Amino acid sequence: MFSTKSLHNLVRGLRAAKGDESQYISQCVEECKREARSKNLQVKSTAVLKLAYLQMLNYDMSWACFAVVEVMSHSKYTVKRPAYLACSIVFDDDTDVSLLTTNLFKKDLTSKEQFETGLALNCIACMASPEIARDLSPDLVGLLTSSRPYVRKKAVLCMYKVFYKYPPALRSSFGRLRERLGDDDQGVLTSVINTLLELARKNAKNYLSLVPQLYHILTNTTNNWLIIKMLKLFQLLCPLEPRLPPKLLEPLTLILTQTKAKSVEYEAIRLILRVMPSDIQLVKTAIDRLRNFVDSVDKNLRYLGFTLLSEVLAHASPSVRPAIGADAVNGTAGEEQPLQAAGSSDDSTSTRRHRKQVEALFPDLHQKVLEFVEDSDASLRSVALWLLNEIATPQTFPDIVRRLLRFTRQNPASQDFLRSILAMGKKSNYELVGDYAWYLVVLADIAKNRTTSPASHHHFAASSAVKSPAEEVAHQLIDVAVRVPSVRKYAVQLGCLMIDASDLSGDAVHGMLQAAQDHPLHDADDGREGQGPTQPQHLDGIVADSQPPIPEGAPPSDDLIDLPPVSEAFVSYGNIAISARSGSSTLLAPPSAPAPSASSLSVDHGRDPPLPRKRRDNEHPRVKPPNTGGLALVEGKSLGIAPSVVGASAWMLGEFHRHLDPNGSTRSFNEAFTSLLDIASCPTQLPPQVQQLCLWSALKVLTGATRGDTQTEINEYIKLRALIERHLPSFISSPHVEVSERSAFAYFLVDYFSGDAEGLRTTACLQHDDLYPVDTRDQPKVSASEGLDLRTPFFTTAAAS
Amino acid sequence: MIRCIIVVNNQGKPRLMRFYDGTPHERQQHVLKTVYNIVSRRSDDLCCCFAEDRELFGDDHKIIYRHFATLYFVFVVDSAESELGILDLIQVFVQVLDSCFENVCELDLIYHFDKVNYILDEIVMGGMVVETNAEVVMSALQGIKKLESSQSSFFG
Repeated sequence: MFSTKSLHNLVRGLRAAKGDESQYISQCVEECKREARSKNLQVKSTAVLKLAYLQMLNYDMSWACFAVVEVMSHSKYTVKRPAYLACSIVFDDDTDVSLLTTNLFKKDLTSKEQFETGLALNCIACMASPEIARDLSPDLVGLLTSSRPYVRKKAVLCMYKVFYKYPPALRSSFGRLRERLGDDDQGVLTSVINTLLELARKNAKNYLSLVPQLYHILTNTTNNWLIIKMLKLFQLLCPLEPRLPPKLLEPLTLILTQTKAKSVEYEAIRLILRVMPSDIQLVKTAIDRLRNFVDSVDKNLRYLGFTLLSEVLAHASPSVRPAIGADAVNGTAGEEQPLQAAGSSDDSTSTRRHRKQVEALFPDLHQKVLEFVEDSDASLRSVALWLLNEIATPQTFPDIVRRLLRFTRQNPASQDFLRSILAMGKKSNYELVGDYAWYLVVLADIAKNRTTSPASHHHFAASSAVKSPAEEVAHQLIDVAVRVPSVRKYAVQLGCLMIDASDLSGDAVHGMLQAAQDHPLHDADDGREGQGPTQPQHLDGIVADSQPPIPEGAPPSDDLIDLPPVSEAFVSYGNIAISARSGSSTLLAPPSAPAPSASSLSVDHGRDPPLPRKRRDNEHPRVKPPNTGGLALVEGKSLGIAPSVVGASAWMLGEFHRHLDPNGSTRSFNEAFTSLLDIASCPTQLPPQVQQLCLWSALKVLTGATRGDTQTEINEYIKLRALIERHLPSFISSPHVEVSERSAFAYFLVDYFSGDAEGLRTTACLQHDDLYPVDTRDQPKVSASEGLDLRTPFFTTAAAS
Repeated sequence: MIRCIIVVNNQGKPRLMRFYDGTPHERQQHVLKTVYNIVSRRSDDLCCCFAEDRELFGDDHKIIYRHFATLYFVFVVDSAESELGILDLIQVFVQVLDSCFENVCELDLIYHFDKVNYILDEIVMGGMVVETNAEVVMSALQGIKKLESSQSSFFG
């Protein structure tokens, strides 16, 4: 016979075993294993209880399921109760011994003791499998008419589990459940409504026939919990039956004006705003009441009020909108005309039609939202941020950005704010951005000082679906630079600042941001684009058609042939450029998948296919760029900028290098070039993808630096070339194949077009073409070259294997 | 529906954990940790009792909690539950605990894991609220006590 340790002793021992808990627990588990084999059910019962406790501490007890069933069969309540508890915690559909419980349940369900019945009901509600639900449903239905309310209310709730696990039972037993709507006991009635609500959430239509009885209950009860559940149920039913909202007018008015419970009041407001037509007095009253919630000093009421308010104000279908009622369809029931047309036929589940009333009753709304955005309660803040995103206009966007940036400066951890800015900026094809030059500076500001908190980066990297702010900045920098030619000059300037290793403080960018906020960047025009001066207007009065033009519908070319990646290992970091385009499906000029800069290295793709094709292979966006988290470091010092942004900046510099210096001197080329090589030269810190992007951009800068018209230019070029020739060999020996391959190619190219004027002119030609976004739908317009067979596989399956 | 109920102390140690949404055992500790991280970072004075974590629980949920002395009582519920109603329910739960243990404190929950679960079972059953009235819950618990003592007198 064992000396069994009670749960109390186990807990005491555990608390005494400081620092040695896991060893103590393994010892206890061993004991429990022995005790679970004991013939003494009392001992077994204690073991099961201890295991249930250890289960909470992450020690799986599913191996003891059979012992649980054994103890459950005991006749004594105190002995079997721990086993029932363990059963409801541990058993699930896959527990193979769960079928053995069916007969135990049958016995206890018919027990004379209502608490034994209750014990069984509770356990079934937690762990019933489809088989158990099927086998026990007749017994449970029988209990619906038990003489004891305690049993009835539990049986009613248990029926939901049965219906859920074994739907055929719904057809046969629903009538018996329905009878309980007439139950005298408020507790039973609440359980019935609770069960009906859960059922209606699956398919509300089936329960429309209950409306008369439900209405009767609603108008005759004073039980707050019951009223709340009824209101929730009506929320699901109203959209399906146009005659219902008018009928509810009176009871709802009574509830709203007479209830003392905030929970009931809130639920009534929610129901009114969700289902009532907007032209009635009751809606006004509800919004008025809602205002009290929003203005309340009670944090809970304020949060709930604001959540509901934001639902009303949102333009788009909110993601925070609770799923309840979301699947409800418009009221089309019956052939009769709706009693009140308004609100029943249009978007009937939406609260948004009350927007005007709300705006009339909340004149200071915008300020309120901004105030809540900076609240110390993260829950309130996230709703406010979301709402801000919904109600931002081009007029208010700069102000919003300024406030959010200011707030992040004071609270460096608030990455959500950066995400919000980035999401707002990108929304609907950058519709909120009036001044792209200003927006680029905002992006640079975010990139330079705020995106590099390693902890937060790690946090976001955990969910692969969500881009980190740094990645998003990289994406948008390129997106804007590619699509708005008139701001490329700024993009390039910012790119220079961001990769300039000598500027570690970020002051320059900061200065630029300040300048942008103080003075709109009026000199942003660029004659070379041939589009006349753009008006990078700031803040006010921006309308869509005054925005800098975005090239649209660029002519399709054979660039568009979509080739699969040669090998995933060869995918270059250039894919940030691609994802910058392909990621935004709603853009004015939806971009195509192919390489971003095929044009820059090929004068004529028809005559010179191998080069661009190779690049396209490499840049195919099949593979996510690896996590470039953390900071880029130069000689051990923090650059304060995320590698993905370094990559984006480098790419912009390379692609748009002609904007480096409008005066034609090569000095700025020289600087950009040096920065690119410098930053690429810290191979341990930068991911190879970024390194390679820097190298490639350096090559592009080099080839664009001069056309070799004068001897001075040629001399400058020779200097640059000397620089690249000094740096490249170390990259050629890089362990990363792509870095190595590209630098070898660059080395070859530089060497081949040595410093004579003819060679320079030829290399300059490589960058002749402009880059335009291309609509993805243009792909089919590209006809394959004659004789090009795209259908026949290279290898037959047999040959391949 | 109530998806799960967690009582966790200020240090993140679980005192009660019940999952009604079929969360597998392997994931339960992760949920515990995440929920603890969320609620423990929220100031009692400055924050409301509601939070969300879409990554963990999806779109349709609310984390509703109350902080009493050293313990967080956390209910994760979907939109079929009333937010303020659940806050009241947590109050009811604690009130019943308080009557059963006389000035309940964390130690009572530590040493009476079973009893706390049995009390909860009279309030929430399989994720559905079965009773919201503290007195009714108390009378059921007293009835059970009576049953237990009658059986022990019969069998020794």
